[in-house]
Amino acid sequence: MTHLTLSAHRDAIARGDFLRVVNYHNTPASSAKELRVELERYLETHRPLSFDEIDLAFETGRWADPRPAFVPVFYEGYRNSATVAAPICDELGITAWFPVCTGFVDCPVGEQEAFARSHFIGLVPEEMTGERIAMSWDEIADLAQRHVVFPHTASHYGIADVATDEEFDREIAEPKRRMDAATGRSAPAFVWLHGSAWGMSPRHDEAVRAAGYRYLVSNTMVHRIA
Amino acid sequence: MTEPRPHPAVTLETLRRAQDRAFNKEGIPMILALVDERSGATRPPAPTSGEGAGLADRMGVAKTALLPTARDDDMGGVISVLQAVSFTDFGDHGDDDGGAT
Repeated sequence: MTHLTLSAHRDAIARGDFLRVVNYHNTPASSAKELRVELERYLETHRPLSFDEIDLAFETGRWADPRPAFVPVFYEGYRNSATVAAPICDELGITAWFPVCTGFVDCPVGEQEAFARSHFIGLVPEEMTGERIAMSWDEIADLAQRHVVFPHTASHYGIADVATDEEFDREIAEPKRRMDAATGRSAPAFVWLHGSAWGMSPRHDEAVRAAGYRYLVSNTMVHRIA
Repeated sequence: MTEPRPHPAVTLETLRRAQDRAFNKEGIPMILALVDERSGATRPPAPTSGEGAGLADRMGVAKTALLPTARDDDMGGVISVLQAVSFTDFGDHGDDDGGAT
């Protein structure tokens, strides 16, 4: 198991075992122009990166294309990730990751603002109209055709929030079952609220692996777990 | 693709600019280490990446500049060091206003 230390991070990065991501949260329509400009600037010096290349790097120990690359990551499962961010990424030829809180998606539209406010999902005023603010399952299925979509728990929960068998299934396993059924693909990764790393809790680690995920994404690492 | 600009030194102001982002319009650049937790997994030895070695050196410099007394396993400190180095590595586009909205 990897030690969670600065030294371990430095050693991996020194070997070339790292990737660059840019973490986003909501991307309201009013910020579309700024988002496009920012992504275009990243593209000036970094190429897009597919998930297949990460799989290959783990299998071979080297990057097939050594040019600097980056991945934008749009967290939570906001509707505007699908309607604003994804189209911009599509136009720019960028593969993005979309970690989705599946409970946000399943929440009735009339409750979604309250759900967001109750689960550390930030909103801006233009989202507070009473209309749907979470992705739909159809949008998730569509995104998965061109991007990487995976669960961010059901309820935007962290390790400390998941203790009972029911919670383990609801927050780790069921989101994958639902997402895989919607997309027709196997969601490759899982990420906790607060980006907890592998090695914090053996029981939680095993549950993530048993659910069928191949990667755990944390704040500072991408852990290959299966 | 164009050549990246030279990397400035990491200071407390760098950390502020890296962390105090306007989340509804700015991304947070971050370098993630790739690690293999599979039992018995072995990988062919990778040649030391010049780019990675440079980043690792800058992490050490940043740690000394920002949190010289922090433990090696202080993960809050690890996150801050990585955020600051990531920002100078590929996230500073030169016209950032420090996150003000």
